[in-house]
Amino acid sequence: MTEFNDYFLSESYLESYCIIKGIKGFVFVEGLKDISFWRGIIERIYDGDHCITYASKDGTRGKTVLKAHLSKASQFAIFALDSDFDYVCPNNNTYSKEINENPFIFQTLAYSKESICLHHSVIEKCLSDIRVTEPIEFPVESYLSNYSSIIYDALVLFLFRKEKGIILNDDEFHKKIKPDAPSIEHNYSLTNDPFNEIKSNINDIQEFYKYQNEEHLDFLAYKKELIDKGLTNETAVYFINGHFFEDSVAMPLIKALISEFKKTEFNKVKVECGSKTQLISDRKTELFEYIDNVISFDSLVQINTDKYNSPFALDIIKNHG
Amino acid sequence: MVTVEIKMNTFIDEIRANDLFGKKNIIWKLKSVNVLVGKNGSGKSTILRSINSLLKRDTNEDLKKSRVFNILLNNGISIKHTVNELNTDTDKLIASLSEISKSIRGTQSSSKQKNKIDRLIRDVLENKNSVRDIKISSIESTNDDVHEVINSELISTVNMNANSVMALIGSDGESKTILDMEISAESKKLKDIFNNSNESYLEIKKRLESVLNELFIESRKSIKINNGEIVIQWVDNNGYLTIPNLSSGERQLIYIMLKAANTSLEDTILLMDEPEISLHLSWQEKLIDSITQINPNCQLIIVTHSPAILMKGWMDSFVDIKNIETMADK
Repeated sequence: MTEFNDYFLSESYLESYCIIKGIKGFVFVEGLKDISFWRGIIERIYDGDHCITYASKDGTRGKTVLKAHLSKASQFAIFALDSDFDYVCPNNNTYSKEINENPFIFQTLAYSKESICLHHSVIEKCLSDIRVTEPIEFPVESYLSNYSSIIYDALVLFLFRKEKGIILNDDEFHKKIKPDAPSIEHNYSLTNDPFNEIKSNINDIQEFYKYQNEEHLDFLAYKKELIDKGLTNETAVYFINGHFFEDSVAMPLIKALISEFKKTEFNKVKVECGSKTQLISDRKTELFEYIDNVISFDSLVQINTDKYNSPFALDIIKNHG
Repeated sequence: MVTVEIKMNTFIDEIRANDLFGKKNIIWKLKSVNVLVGKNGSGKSTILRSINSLLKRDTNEDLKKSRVFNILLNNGISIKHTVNELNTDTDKLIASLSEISKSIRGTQSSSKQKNKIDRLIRDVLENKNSVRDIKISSIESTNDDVHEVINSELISTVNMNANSVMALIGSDGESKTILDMEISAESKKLKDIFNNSNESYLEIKKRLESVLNELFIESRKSIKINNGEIVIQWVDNNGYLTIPNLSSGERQLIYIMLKAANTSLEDTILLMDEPEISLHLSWQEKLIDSITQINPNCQLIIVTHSPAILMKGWMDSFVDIKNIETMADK
């Protein structure tokens, strides 16, 4: 008698299943919140219907759940996952190897969906859509590129140790590279250096993750491999933990810029309204409601399609198209 | 982050069975939604029925298939069914029983007692070799009121499927299937909720209508619930249908959803044996979500052979029975 696990997600079983459902195949993503992103990718690769479904109601467990079934990935069961460190550390564990080798396992090629959805090109486009009178003008690309160049060497050293199978605490690494909150003032100028502390500690961080002298040639080869995968001193930020990137690097900047934007626009309202305090108050409510709800950054990111033109998304589409 | 938490006050934390079929032990840690898979004859349905029987304090043959069957609740309460095999030396047993029999004298009731013991002595004498097969079962709990705080409902789709075609002639001369009558009974319960608590009823009605319409739109039907009564219409021409007009799969689905709705006012363990039978794949995929939408206060324990049940976000909810069993000590 066939075991449940043998036919659950098996190619032959799903082939019939898909015929009955009238679909081309299933795409299994980690959680509900990943469906929309992967639908955009899948639609750019395949014509026709794929049923995009998710592994677990608890999205944080989704990848773990899918890992148990990686070998079942097929044309009828495509797995679409965050790369995490699996793409850049293919020998870190057996799953990493399988994720990189099975053509029916799609991965983000940057750390996660967040790394693509908050690519500098997406942030810049969304910020430009947040507009009342004047646009937000800030060099997001160079801010992230600057951060990337500061953390690059430490990140490569950290990844090299992981690639060698050494168990490292990911949270501990990210704590070391956490920037200060950016301070944005008039004309969207940065008035502090959020990366100052990292810069002063960077030598210690690199020392912490240093490799043995005899590993030097391996390290150079690995570094070259990472460059080929798109991890450079300009893009390192997209290869660190995606939630850390979102919560500790991108969003603090975006929030500071939007806060300054609201302040600037409100000042204009005050000038327009003169001493009419009630009018100022009404206009302020209307203005902030518009900025927070109608043109909120989160909703703009959600509907933005530039993410599919980011280098990582284009690579996913090219690899599987 | 979406988390699946058990919202009930009382729920099953763990199931333990010792010597199931005299050969294996089971330790099964439960979550809010639990799907048990495995080969035929591996004991899945036996476990399901044993849970139901034990929660209802009803000793049955399924419970006797394990030497010990234990349900551990989250509040520390344990309900245990034990089968005690008669392990005594038969000669000593007969001697003891004879002593007891001799010592009984007097009243009419003690005479009855004496007769019973004498019969048992004769049985033991006649079946000396098989006396070890005599099993005495008992249920014990660390809290005798437990059945009052946790409700249990078993839906066996195999039986339901048979009931959906087995027609009986009612006193009114109309031919009805057993399933139709069961649906009527559940509808009546819903009406009782309507009569007793309008607030609870409205909430249940809202959830039930929403779920049923989402499911039945696939067969172009709409469902309304008026005062507890289910009203079915064709979407395209508004023509009315009655429950017996529906397919057996549709009636089974209505029955399952009514059960889920009617048990939503109290913590319930909803046990389902092969609910996939007669259901299209898309309904199988939506089954768990539909039940949990109608009744967020239930713990689901499902036995199935169908992967479709797991396809919409429940891949982490299944366990193969072979992964929760170990060989019993000989």
